[in-house]
Formats: sequence, structure tokens, C-alpha cells
Amino acid sequence: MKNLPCGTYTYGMFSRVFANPDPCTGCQNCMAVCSQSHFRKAVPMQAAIRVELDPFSGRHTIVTCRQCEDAPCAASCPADAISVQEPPGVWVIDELRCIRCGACVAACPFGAMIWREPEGQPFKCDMCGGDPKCVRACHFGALQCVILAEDGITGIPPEDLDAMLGRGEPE
Amino acid sequence: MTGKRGGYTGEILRVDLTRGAFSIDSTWDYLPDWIGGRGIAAVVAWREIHRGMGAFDPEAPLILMTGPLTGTMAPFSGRTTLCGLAPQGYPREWYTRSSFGGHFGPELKYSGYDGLIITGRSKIPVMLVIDNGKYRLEDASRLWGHGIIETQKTIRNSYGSRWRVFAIGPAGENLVRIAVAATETESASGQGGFGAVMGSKRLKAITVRGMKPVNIADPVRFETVCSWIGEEAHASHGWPHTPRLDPELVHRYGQRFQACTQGCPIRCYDARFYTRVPSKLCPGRILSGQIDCIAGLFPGVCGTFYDWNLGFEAGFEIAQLTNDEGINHWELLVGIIPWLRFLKQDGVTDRFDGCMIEPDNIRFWETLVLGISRRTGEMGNALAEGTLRAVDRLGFGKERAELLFPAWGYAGHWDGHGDRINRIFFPFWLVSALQWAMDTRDPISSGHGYVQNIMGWCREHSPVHGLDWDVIRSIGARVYGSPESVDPLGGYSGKAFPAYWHGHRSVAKDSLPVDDQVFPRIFSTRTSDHYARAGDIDGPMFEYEMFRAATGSEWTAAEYEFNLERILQLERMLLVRNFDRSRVDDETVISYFEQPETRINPYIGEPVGMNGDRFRKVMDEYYRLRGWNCRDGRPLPETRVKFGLENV
Repeated sequence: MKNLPCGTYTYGMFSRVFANPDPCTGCQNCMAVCSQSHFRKAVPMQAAIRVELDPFSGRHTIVTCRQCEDAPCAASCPADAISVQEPPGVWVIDELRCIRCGACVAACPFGAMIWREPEGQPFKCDMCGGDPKCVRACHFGALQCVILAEDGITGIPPEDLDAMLGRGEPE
Repeated sequence: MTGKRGGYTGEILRVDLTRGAFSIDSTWDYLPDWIGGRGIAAVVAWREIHRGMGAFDPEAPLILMTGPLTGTMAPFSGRTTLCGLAPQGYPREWYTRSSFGGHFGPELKYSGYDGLIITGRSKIPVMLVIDNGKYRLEDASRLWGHGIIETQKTIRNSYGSRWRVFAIGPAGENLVRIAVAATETESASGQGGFGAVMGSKRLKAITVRGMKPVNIADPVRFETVCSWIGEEAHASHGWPHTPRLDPELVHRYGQRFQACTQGCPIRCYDARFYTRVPSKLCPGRILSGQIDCIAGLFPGVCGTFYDWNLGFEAGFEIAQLTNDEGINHWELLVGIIPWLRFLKQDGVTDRFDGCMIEPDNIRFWETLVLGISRRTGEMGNALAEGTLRAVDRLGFGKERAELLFPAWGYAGHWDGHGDRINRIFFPFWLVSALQWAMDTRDPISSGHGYVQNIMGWCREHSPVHGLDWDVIRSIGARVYGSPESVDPLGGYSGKAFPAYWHGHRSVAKDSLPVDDQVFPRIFSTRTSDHYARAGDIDGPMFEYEMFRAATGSEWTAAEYEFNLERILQLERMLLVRNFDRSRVDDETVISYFEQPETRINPYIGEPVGMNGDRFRKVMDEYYRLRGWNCRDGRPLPETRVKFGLENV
């Protein structure tokens, strides 16, 4: 997948942050920006995106939420607290319904669900309402915001993206 | 600092290695007067480094400080500053600083500490382990003798890849005065010989991991300001054109961009990572690692002093060997190798401890690096003291060394002399000379701001994206108060103020800390008047606005500048009190700069050397701006009162 050209792709009605580790320089700005915008402080290890550094091989691993169609986090939740929010088509946690059992964190096969301490609650990527801050913060094109649609991978003109995400005309 | 507090974790960990004891200083006790890294370190040094104390004395503190922006989303901010008595300091082991990048400093903050103050000497090699606010010393005997990279890999293998390690190699253990302490493959606290200070304390490594937050006082403003500044960023060096990878090196060796510090969002001229370089010393082995800045000289480059031909693969391997052993790249590449070549050329000696001096031969480099780091042989042991002390010890090569070492810095480093590596001509290197005169180490560490900005933005060096001199002059007048400060025909006029202004801007870069190559931002291709600007902030104010939003400081811009200068004043007072620093020391740089320059100012048409008498008048001007006595270069009593430094 790493050779996909830049652009927008479709596959279902979900959107997600798509990570290509090849151009990633390991600056971790994406993590800092995510934690800052969600928690109003610098706590990158609680960010919904994680760059695991290997400074000796130079090959970094980027962990992002895949917004799975059959999301194990949602399926494992005994309180039905994780549901799809549309648009932008992402799984979000309803903090009022969440019973803080941590089942979703254990269920995620990609390690993309975060358990926050000392708050004692789960956290996941909410796509910042459709305009992910991490994507904006990456100056190297390692991150893209993509739409996953049912008809496979097809490009969507950028000008159509706002309408699909329900953002309307820019002011 | 009234109101909301942010930017700091609030605690500084003190470690007494003699007793194995820990204590905590409250960071807030140093605030709001002293800013982060270099600021808090200066106060600790003033109080705890006594006259007569040597760099290797157990009680000499080694001060490792982050700043209020370290670990936050502030672009270019992931750095850490190491301060203390420098074994490399010449002619005296005086107080200095050396900052480093990587991801260690941010992790230290996430583990709950703004910094470390390390004193004492352990009986056995130890490692300081800090795990999310908990700390302990561990026996590091099994790591002693291992290289810096090897040590990090060993620790990460047993602790986990989330841990960040700051370590020394054999050079530091053997008290080599040009030993570095480093993290990752190329992020070193390179100048000063602080690796040897860690070695003298028998502190092999510091390893940290943390999950704690760093609070931000005004998050909304902070996020806005940081986004503006990150998006405004041009290339590294603040230059107008963007660097590119070399397609051949990408193909053959997996060249790629790699951030040399957490939080750096741009393509850098200096930092390149290579994922697959075949080893020359161990055929079949594949090497990987980073090459930053000066390490680009290892293969040899066109020029006067560095035109050996080691080749890329061998040069890369020796760079990694030197990183692992923990030797200062600058001293080796710009000092020792050219000096040995001169010795051979002059017929003084053609051997380094029995090995032919052959800079085109990787075996010679290997013998040299290991000879210095392990202190084997007469010359290896002498050069382990640094080139200048080696000259004193060996009794030869002094004249040649003076060509390569303008006082406490390295020839050719944005000084217009020595080699022709940096593109700078008269009169701009006068400001470098002035920065040099007032410093304790090579000043072009946090002091690139003036020379690099002007030379990178003039059309002589950036024909496509650069600016006309009229534009540079008008912006120069705005920043420095005089167009002559940036005029290629400005001569000695207007040179004291840029050295003065960038002097305390250098303190900001080591204290907040932020990247030296980027700040202060002055010129831009993105504004109609070419004065750097982001949102509602002028370029030179970028650091201040990030600092203010992160910490909640209510200082005005003028108060911020005043407090930066206050740090510099305290450092000068320390140098005067403990090391008798005086104008005589400051003037030692003059004879070097009196030689003709190596590049010609096209508007003058012939090489220029410094006029010592005229430069002394510029020095007078600088001393007056700082409030120092023109006769002896010491801060005047009224200056101490003005800055509230009578009873620190």
C-alpha cells in the first residue's frame, strides 16, 4: 500500500487517517498536535496516533485507528458506548455511556485504542471532526485523510471531499 | 509568573552519585526570573561552581536542562542543554554549554522532570533510570566499555523500545576531553567534553520513560501560534530554498530525511539518514545511521583542509564508529585530521603512533579514533586531551594548530577564514568574530542567526530565491537599527548591535529551547515586504510568542529580552569570578581574524583581513551595549544592579 499516490480513496462510508511510514522523519509532531488539541496539554503518549521510533534503523512504525468496518472495539463494548458518527464516518466513544472497563483497548488488534492515565478512560481517533490535525501537522505527506467507500479504491476530486464530509462551502 | 503556569513539569531531580542520594528542586523556585535550560543552569552554576573547582572534581555539577517548550507541539523545540565545567575548555576548564537533539529531553519531561543536576562520583559504573517519576541507580558495569550506540541498543533490548537513553562511550569513560555524551546515532552534546564529565562521575547512561503531561498555560493561543510558525517555516537555516535528497544516494544507500530532534517539521540541509551502507571494515555487514552537518566532511570535500578522499561508504562507517566511541566530530574533522596532515606535510612526523597518516585510508581513521578514545600510544593519549592541549604536551605543531583553532572555536565555521566551507565574506564575519570573542566555545552553535541568514538570503548565494541588497538593508534596519549592519559595504559600522542582539537570542535558543538553524526568523519569501511574519507575529518574535503562550508569562517583549540578557550577564559574572575572564581573553581571537579572508566580497574585489584597531573599537561598542567595562570586559557595578544580580 505504501506506493499509493497521494489523493483520496474510497471504500465504504468510513474515513480514516492513512499512514505511510516511508517519508516519516520521526519528528512526532502528529502525536504532539493530537494530544494538544484533544487534551489541551502536551502528552503525546496519549495521542490517538503513535509513531514508534527506531532511531537505529530509521524505520518507524505508525499506528493509527483503521476505523474498521466491523470494529472489534465497538463489538467488545458491553455498554454500546462506541458507535459510528456520520459524517465524517468514524467510530467515536460516548463518554457518558462508557463504563471505563477497558475492553475496547484489549480488543483492538492494532493497538490503536489508548488507555489514559490517570483519567482511567479509553481514547481513540475521532478524525477531529473530519479535518485531522495530525495530517495538517505532517509536512512530509506521511499522513493522509482518506474516505473508505464500498466501490473499492477510486479517487475523489478534492473539491468533492468537503461535501462528502458535510463541511459545506469554505467561508 | 502570575496566573496560569505551564511549560514546566515543576521539578528538577538532583542526583548525588557519591552517596547514591536523590533530592528534588522545585523549578518554580527559579521562576519567573530565569528561563528554562540555560537560564536555570546559569543560576545553579553561579551558586554551586566555586572558584578553583575543576571539571573532573566530583562536586562539580553537571546540569542537564530542558526548557518550557521541550516536548510540546512547538515546532523545532525538542532540544536539551547540558551545562557545566568543560574539560575541553581552553585555555581553562571554564563554564560552558552544549545542546543536543533527539527525543531524550522530551521524554525526561514526560517522566516528570525539567532537568537533572548531577554531582558526586560513584564507586562503580552506574546508570540513572527514571521511569515516569520514579528514579534509581543501577549497576552499569556490564555496559562499561561499550559504545554509545551499542549501549542504547542493549538497554532498549532489555527495557523496551519506548526508553530513551543518553550515554557515553569509551572516550567518555577514559576522560577524553573531546568526549561527547549522546542519544540515538548522531544527537550529541558535542562541545565541552561533557562525556568525560559523565565518565569521571562513572555515570554510563541516563535512561528515561514517561507518560506525564506538560501543561500549557494558554492552549488556544499556543496551538494557534505553533500552527502559524510551523506552516511559515521555510527550509532549515531559515533559508529560502528547500533541500532535496540525492537520487543516487537514495537508490544506493536508502538516504532519507530524518528529524534530528523531536518536533522538527521541515526538510533539513544537514540531517540525512542512511538505511543501508555496506561496511568496509567488516565486509558483509550493513550499517545504518544519521549524518548531520559536520559529519558530512568524513568522506572528504573540496577545499583546503578537508580534501581527503575517504569516500562515502568508508566516511559513513567512520562517522558511526566515532559516534559509538563518543568523540567530538568537530575536533576530529576540523582539528585533528587537518593538523596531522600539516605535520606530515611539514615533515614533523608521518605517523600516528606507528600508523601512517593516510586520511584516504579507513584503517588509519580506525586506528586514530580508537587510539584517542582508548588513550593508547603517546599521540593517542595526547590528542585525547584535545588538539590544543596535545600541542602543549607534544611540543610541536603549534603554528599549524593556530590556523585551525581560532581561540576556542573551529576555523572556517562561518568565520570567513580557515577553509572555504561556509560561504561568508567581509564584513559579515566581523559579527562572528565578535560573537567568538565573547564566548567560551565555538559560538556558531546557537549563534548562526546573523551570518547564516544574510549569506543565505543574498543573491550571491541564492540567485533564484534570494533578495536584493536593498530589501536586506531595509529589513536589517528594522531588526538591527541600522542598514549598515547588513550592508556588504558597511565595513565596521553597525556590527556591535547584531552581535549583542544575537548574543541573547542565542540564550533564548538554548533556554526555551528551539532550533538554532531556524530561529530567529527574519527574511521570508511569503510576505510582500519579505520580512518574516506568521499570523499576527513578526518573525523575530516567534520564540517569544510560543514562550508566552506555553508558560503564561506576562512579560512584555522588552522584559523578555531583558531577562534573556540577564542570563548572559550572569554567565559573564561567573566567568569573571571563577576564571578571571577579561578583555585580554576576548582579544585572543583578533590575530586569527587578521589573516586575509578565504572568500572575496564581490563589491570590494579583494580579500580583506581584520583591522585589529578598528575591531577593538567595535568591541568597545559591544562592551558599552552590555554595560561592561571597556578596559577589562567585566560587568560594571551598575550593570549588576540594573539586572538585579547583586544577590543571586
